[in-house]
Amino acid sequence: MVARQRSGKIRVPDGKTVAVSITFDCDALTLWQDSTGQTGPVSLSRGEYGMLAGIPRILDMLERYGIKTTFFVPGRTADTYPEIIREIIAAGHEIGWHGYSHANNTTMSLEEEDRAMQMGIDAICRCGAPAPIGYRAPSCDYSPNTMGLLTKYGFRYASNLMGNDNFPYYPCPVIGHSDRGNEFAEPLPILELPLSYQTDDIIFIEYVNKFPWMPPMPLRPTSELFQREMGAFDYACKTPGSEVILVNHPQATGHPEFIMNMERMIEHMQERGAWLVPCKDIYEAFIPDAKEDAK
Amino acid sequence: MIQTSQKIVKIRIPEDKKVAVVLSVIFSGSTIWTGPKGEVSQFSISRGEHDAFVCVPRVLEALKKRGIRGTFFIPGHTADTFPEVCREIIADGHEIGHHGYMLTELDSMTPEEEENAFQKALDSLQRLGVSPVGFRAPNEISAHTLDILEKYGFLYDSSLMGDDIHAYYPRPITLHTDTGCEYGEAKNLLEIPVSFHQDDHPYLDTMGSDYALPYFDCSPPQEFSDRCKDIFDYASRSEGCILNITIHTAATGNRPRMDAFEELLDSLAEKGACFMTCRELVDAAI
Repeated sequence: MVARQRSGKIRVPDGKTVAVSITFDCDALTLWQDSTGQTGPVSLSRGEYGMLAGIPRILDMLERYGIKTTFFVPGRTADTYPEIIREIIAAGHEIGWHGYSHANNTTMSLEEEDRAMQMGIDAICRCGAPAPIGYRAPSCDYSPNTMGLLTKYGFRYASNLMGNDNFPYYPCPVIGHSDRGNEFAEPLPILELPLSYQTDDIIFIEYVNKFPWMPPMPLRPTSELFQREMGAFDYACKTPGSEVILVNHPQATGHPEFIMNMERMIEHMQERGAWLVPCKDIYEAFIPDAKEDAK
Repeated sequence: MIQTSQKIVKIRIPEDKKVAVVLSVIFSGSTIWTGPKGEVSQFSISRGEHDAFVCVPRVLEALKKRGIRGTFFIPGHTADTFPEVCREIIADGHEIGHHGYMLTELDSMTPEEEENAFQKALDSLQRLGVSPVGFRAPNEISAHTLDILEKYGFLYDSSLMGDDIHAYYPRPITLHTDTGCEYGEAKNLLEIPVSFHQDDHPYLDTMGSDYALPYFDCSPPQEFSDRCKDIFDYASRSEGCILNITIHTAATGNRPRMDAFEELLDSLAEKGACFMTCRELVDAAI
């Protein structure tokens, strides 16, 4: 029985404060095709927008600010838009795994999940990416088989769960009970770079009125997103060795007013010593079990 | 040049202007409150009357004061229910666009049903002396909609969301499961795309509607204006871009929203907006 979470701290370069990764989930058509069943031309065009309008703006912005980061790419997005994925790679960014389709892995059989993992890796490697070491499930969740597969395919870190926010941790599989306390097994060997709805764009800025798993979402103004995400960053600044993982979807963040908001956020963070890097750099800079300031 | 990139077009505007701005104005009448069946409560009927007799005149006056011509997308049912109001819109010089007859989902009809509904709405507008050249779908389009528009000699569609600050030629997408999806040939029809980010749809306050999802957005009107101004500023960074703002007379024509709307028009004019109708935008495509 594990008494507490196995975490640690991130060793950032001298002069830097918080490790930040501005990640992009390139769902494109897969979000509509696989997660919503809305496959009419208008719905698909919203996914198409992410790759054809959003990505060029995002790459241009990252270049202007000298930032390299991580794009999680579903294999079918890579197969549909290979030239665009090649541009992302050529610009020096990391490509992480994000399924082949956007289907939910937690309900797949072992064979299905294994096949999806292989197809997703093959598709992004066909575009010239190195074999991915980072994993983000479209469902942001694990099946009972996921961890074995991550080990089999050589993944080093994952970015799905929400068991911490300021620090990466090694997640423990949990057996849930309703009539007694949950049981925590031993921590898994894959480092988790955790997520938070406070630092995720799609929930707050993408107007949807027919997703089966979300209520009708109002469009929120850019100032709210800024306050939420920079509120998280400013708080992390007070805690040495911490991180912020931002989750963005090009079909949401690629909209012009949110590109401009992200420019403002980048400037805010750079002024405060953020170490803006791909997820793999955070993984490599992690010191497990470190209690004091990692420097 | 990316093989799968959007086939975009730039828009020619005077040298001293920055962005071509289209005001797409949806005059729903009672359709948004009653839905395709047309069965209504008196409450829903009154919302439609408010749109026609109160909201539309307010918007018309705001545009006339500034010499701005917009593109009014009017469902055939609204043209048949409020013909005098429609004639006032036409008399003010605005373009009229096709917007279906009722709000029947285009992808719920057979191709024949869809074409019949299209013709029925066309008849309603032609009874007002209008021959539309552009189309805005109530919501989703079918696999046949763009073909119907081409068949009837339309010049543009304004329903898709594959870009926002560029007009483009839309390509159909064939979905696959275990391989990449495929793009077909680009249509000859110009797409003047739309975006929920430039649309006052969320502010329609459809609580109590017999048809639409109940929705009530409490955002202050200034938020919509600020968003549109930001998008204009971003579009100003490149040449030949557009800003297609959608307003519903039933939303923007409400008392709390009019002042912010007028301020938005004035602010965009000051920033270098070249206001034009959708038809004029097609003619200005390079």
